[in-house]
Amino acid sequence: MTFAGLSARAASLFAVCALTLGACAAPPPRAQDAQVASAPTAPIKLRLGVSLTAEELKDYEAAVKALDEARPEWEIALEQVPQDGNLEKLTANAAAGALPDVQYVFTNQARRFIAQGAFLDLTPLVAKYTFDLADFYPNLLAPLQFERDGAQGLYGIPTNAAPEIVFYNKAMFDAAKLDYPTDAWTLDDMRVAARKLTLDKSGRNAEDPAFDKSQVAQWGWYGALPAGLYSRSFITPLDADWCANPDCSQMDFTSAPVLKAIQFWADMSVNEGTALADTFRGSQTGAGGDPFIAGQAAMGMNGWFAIGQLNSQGSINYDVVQPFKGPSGTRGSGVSVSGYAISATSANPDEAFKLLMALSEPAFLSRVWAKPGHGIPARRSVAADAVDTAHPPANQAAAIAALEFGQPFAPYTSGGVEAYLTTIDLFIAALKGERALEPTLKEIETTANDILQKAGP
Amino acid sequence: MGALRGPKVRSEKSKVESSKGHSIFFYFLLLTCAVFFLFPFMWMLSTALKPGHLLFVEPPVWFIWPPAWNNFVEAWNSAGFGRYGVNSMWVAGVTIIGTVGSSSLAGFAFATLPARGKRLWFGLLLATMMVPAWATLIPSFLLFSRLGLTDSYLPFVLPAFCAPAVYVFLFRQSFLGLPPQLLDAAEVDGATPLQSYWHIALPLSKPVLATVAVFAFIGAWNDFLNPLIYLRSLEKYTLALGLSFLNGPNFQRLHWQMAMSLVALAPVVVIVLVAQKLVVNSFDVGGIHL
Amino acid sequence: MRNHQRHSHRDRYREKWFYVLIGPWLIGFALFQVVPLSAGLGLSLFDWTPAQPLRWAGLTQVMAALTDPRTHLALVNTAKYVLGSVPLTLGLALVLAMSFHAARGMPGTSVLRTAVFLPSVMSGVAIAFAWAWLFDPNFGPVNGALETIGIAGPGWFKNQHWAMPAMVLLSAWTCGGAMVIYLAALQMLPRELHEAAMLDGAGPWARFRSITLPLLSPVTFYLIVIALISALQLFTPAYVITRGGPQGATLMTGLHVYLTGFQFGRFGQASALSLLVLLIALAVTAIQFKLSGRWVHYEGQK
Repeated sequence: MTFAGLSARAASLFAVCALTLGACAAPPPRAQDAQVASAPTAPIKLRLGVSLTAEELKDYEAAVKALDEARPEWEIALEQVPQDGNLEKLTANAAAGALPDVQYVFTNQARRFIAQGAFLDLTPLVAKYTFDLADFYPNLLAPLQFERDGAQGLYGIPTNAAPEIVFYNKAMFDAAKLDYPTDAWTLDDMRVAARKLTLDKSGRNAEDPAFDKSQVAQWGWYGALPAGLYSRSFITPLDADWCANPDCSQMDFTSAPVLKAIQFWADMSVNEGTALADTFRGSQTGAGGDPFIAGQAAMGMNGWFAIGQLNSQGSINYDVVQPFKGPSGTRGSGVSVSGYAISATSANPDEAFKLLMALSEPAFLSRVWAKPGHGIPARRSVAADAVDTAHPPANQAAAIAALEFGQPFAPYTSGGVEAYLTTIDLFIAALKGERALEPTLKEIETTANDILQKAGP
Repeated sequence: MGALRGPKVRSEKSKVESSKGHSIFFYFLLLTCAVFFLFPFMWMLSTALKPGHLLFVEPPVWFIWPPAWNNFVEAWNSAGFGRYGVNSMWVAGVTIIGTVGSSSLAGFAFATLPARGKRLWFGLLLATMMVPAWATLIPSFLLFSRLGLTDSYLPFVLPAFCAPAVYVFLFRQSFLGLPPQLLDAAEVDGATPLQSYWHIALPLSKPVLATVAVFAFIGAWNDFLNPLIYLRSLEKYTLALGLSFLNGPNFQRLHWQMAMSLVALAPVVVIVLVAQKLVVNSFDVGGIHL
Repeated sequence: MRNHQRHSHRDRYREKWFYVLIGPWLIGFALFQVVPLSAGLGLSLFDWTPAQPLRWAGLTQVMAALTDPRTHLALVNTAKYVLGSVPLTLGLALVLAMSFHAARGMPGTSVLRTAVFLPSVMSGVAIAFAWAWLFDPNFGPVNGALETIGIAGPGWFKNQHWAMPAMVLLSAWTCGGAMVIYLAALQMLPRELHEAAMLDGAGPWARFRSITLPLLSPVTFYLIVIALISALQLFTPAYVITRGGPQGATLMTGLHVYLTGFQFGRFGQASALSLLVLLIALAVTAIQFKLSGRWVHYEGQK
């Protein structure tokens, strides 16, 4: 076969592939809203895709069933996906144009799909059904907003949020004869306490001259910048922000205020040895996972979900307090947000939106989310329902307060995960003192911005 | 064979004695190995029996009295594991039948039947073994989605009936070891290749058949990705999916997960023990001695 | 088929049956391999995001995949893994299979066999958890045992130089699959050769080297080919235990393809990577087949 013949064959093969993929890529035609004159006879099938823990699912399933019965015009098919496989499932469904009508999303995963056009812009539907967004915490909407063709759109409605608050181990404080932290504590208070609460294997604390930094058995503070790029809430109270623009698609690790803020944490981990540099992977603790939950740290920032975990474990006597104040009284809290979006290929977008509204009703949110370990409802009117003082911790109100100033974890643009995974090792190395801080931060900045820029919005 | 001539022939009695000695030596070697192989399972069992609040005691202990058998009950009740188990059984059972049948046929063909283009097909067969699963996942899902076959077991059970390459290869290798005289004789007697396959090749290959059956079962039993991507209704979920409900980024119930992993392991152990009857003929006298 | 004789009736007959028997495989090949792979090829050459029209990307995605430093790292790591794990795993599998063969008839061997086979049979996630604990530098039994004989155990999965050896050991622990295959092959070996050799006075090592090993060579060949291909696709332990860390020490090709496609959303590149992995596997296997003529001995063929 001649080269020309071969390339002709190749070209036709590619053409076939292109046509196949083109057919696959084009979304199937959508049915327009079913505003038929007579009442619909058959219930409209709506697929509701969620990804919940086993405990959340129990409440959620029951609530959805009740909703289904109360609204005979719908037939709701609940599709639960394990949280470990949620990203793969979303990707496969989006690729095939087979996303459920209403899809529960984690905002740190959603952006890529929003940018690809997998979800509908809800602005027209919000206007059409006069859905009042005022009750939702405004700071939770940012990751679901997206600018397309010069217009700002809203591509999802938040449903629950898990803000970070400070957890502290009462037994460790008692042993060190320290007063428990209060909402009035500052980061400097924390730093001082951490020295007394960090113990090496011989029981010496960090203030002891014979303290051995390499043999720490109990850490005073859970982690210096435990989530690498995502640890913005550790920096903002120190009057700096490493997100150089609102959607954090540009980051700054080298300007003076940011450097000073990072140095605060690096001092704790490198010089004082009171904070972990490698928080979750276990190279310093000897066991992977959350060191506070494993009983190896006296204080740390953790999300609302940790309450459920700690209560079920029952081994730690703990309480929570608002994130500590910085020098100017600023607090920082990273918030995990989940919400609902509507598939761009939904056959019944209007009914799907009505379902979304029903799922966002204050009563529904309260019934389903308002438990320790689940999320806090994203609506101001019912957020406090999540507080249940029948279970520890006592100061759950701290989390509700944190929602006021909490910021969703950023960067949440399409390159966020990659930027995080690529730079986390550099963070850990610098915070362990294995690499000089400033040049490493420069490298982190270049790497992260490179990835964020290439990946787009 | 000349190199094997040498020292004097041993008596029959000493042959039997030395083989018995060998047996005992290797038996104890295996006992030691088995303990090492079982170590992580002992940890899994120990974790499964610990109450939740003592999972992270320092220093770690092996067993805490009393054993928390209720972990198994609680884990079982946290999701529909009975249903998932039944589903997994069904999928795995059908997979065994499809896999063993189609792969042995194809392997027999590759091993014993000459044909033009066989080399090409065999090359392609091998090539398909090398394709990473992720590469075909999304396009296959797209295909089945267009055909309306989501939320069904078909997309991942059907490929089992299409002779998975890795087993075809194994059957081919083992059928290549069949004495050609037997097959020639059968052909002379007028047997079709299918009859040769059924009456000669299969009976001589019980160990390989059992092995492939076990592997096919295990592959289907542990398969997480395909059920994840294709299934939608909770009542159709398999055990592998159910297990992943027990441990996630926001929800760690390690003791439950270990408990249910052990429960999910039980049928596999049974199948493996049963299949061993076919693989190893324990009534051999003589045979190959070391 | 270099001879130009007309195909005899017998040849045509057997050829017909060949195609009948591989029929199911052919259907599966067309449906589950050709179609998705063409799509994969298309994905590498086109910039495709779902719900948007295709854009021709030419070789940009392919080049991006090839020049990505993580790709080079993944290939090097996978090579290291192969060099360590294949001899270790197959060697251990063979030793165990021979041991089981020698000890057959002793009580409880089927239980022992099941014990050895079990790790390769469990779900990858449970294995990964169990193995990570086993090699935990502070609390794991391995370092504990090393301590009792006075050696300070390394950081294993937390240390960038020891993570890959720990992975290789995991492969050896899951050698049960290979062991079972060897065992099945040993059962099927003809006894006459061994008996003749014993009558000739050959010792066990000589018999092993001259009879057993060559007769097992088709199975060994199969296992080596499979092991290489699996190494290129290895995913679960790398994902669950280390996520490719520490500092990329366990970033292997299988994990790299997944991360690029699913975590970073760069499907064009991930498809190109898949094709690269496929090509490497093809090349390596072709080389193996070429070399196999020298050492693989098929009983049924002259």
